[in-house]
Amino acid sequence: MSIVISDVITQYGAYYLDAGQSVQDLFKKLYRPSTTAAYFQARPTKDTVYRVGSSDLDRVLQPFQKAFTPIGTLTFLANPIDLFNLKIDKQEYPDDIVDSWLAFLEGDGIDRSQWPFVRWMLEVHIFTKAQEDYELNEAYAGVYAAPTPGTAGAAGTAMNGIKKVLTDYGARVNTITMGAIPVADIDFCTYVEDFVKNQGKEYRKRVDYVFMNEDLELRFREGKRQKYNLQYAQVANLETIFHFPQCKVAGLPSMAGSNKLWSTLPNNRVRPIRKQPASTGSAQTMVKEFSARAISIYTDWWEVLGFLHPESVYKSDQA
Amino acid sequence: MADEKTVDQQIAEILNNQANLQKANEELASQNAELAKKLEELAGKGAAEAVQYEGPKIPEESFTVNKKEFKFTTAKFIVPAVGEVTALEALTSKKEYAELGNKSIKQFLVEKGSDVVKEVE
Repeated sequence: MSIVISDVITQYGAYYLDAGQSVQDLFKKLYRPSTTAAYFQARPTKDTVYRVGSSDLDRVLQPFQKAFTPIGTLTFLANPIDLFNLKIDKQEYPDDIVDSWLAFLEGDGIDRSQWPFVRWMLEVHIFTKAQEDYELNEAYAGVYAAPTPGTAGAAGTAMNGIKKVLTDYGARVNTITMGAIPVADIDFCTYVEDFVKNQGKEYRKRVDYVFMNEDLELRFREGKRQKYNLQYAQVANLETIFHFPQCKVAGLPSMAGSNKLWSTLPNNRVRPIRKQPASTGSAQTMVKEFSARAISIYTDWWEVLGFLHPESVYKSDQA
Repeated sequence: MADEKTVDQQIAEILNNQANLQKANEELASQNAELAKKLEELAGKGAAEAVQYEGPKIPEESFTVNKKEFKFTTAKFIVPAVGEVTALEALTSKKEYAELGNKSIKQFLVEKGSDVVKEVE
């Protein structure tokens, strides 16, 4: 928690001069949006564990005979999806900006908690940065670790991400032994096609996406262009799988650095989110408190990205 | 009034019924005791123990390909053009598949750089 304005002071002086500057004159780098979570259906829940189950019947049909010979085992499996408690804590002294070029963010004769600075910080930075942190640190690569009391936990330890979830399911998730990613783009296009082709026949015409990192998505598009756009034969949709056109490749920022591919049915991807009382905030709302010249902004909520039926998930064998 | 029972007969019938009921009660008590014993046995077990899901397991044994020792990291997987195979089946099978370039599944996985096998250090 700190506001660093030394460069502004050095360049523009330690005083406020109203020269018409406003928030329009403040720029920032783009944050990554929460792309991965958008592929998962939100499931509001009251619990911290979202409990679902699956059932499977092995065989019922048999040749006729007079004797009664019942067969078939109906197996039920539990699938408890643990939600994780995430939070945002931020505290600043708005007075830090008063004696500077940035003082246009100060409120005129109003309480510090109502200053434009607070709203600007929330809207321009905190919500969007939280989405970026979620995407890049937690959504795929996160591995939960209990924080040391009194010390903020490390990035990537707030919840178990998709990678850990898939690993923890073990043999319940289908692993296709694709081997290492090919070097040539055209071979990588075939590699992704083979990944879909080797999924269960009941699934491969229904899966909607093959998820991968963003660089691999680009390589697939380039490979498909090289493989199919020959002479007069041209394909326009470079993101679809040639023999399974309902299925597209989707590059996820959260999977940066991973060579894994994964795929499942659209309604199998869920994002259980626990309903919270308004007083504690949520992923979309913050609680604001003002005390001793400091503005404290905080929220916490429970959620996770998971799968209703792990047996309907296919992943490649790469890390 | 020939059908009317004497007091003695009625008393005998009541005593007989009482004896039958006592016998039935004793049988019920015995069954209750058996059920209580079974409940006590079940109480010591969790639901997971009562009906244990038996999925495929990762074999402990290692195997050698190209003079290097490997172990499986995944209990079940899909080999392209072959289908679903458990690690145990792959470990014990020596069959060479034409679809895999006349290689066994173990050889194929090692040479493809698959993560379902890991070199033993």
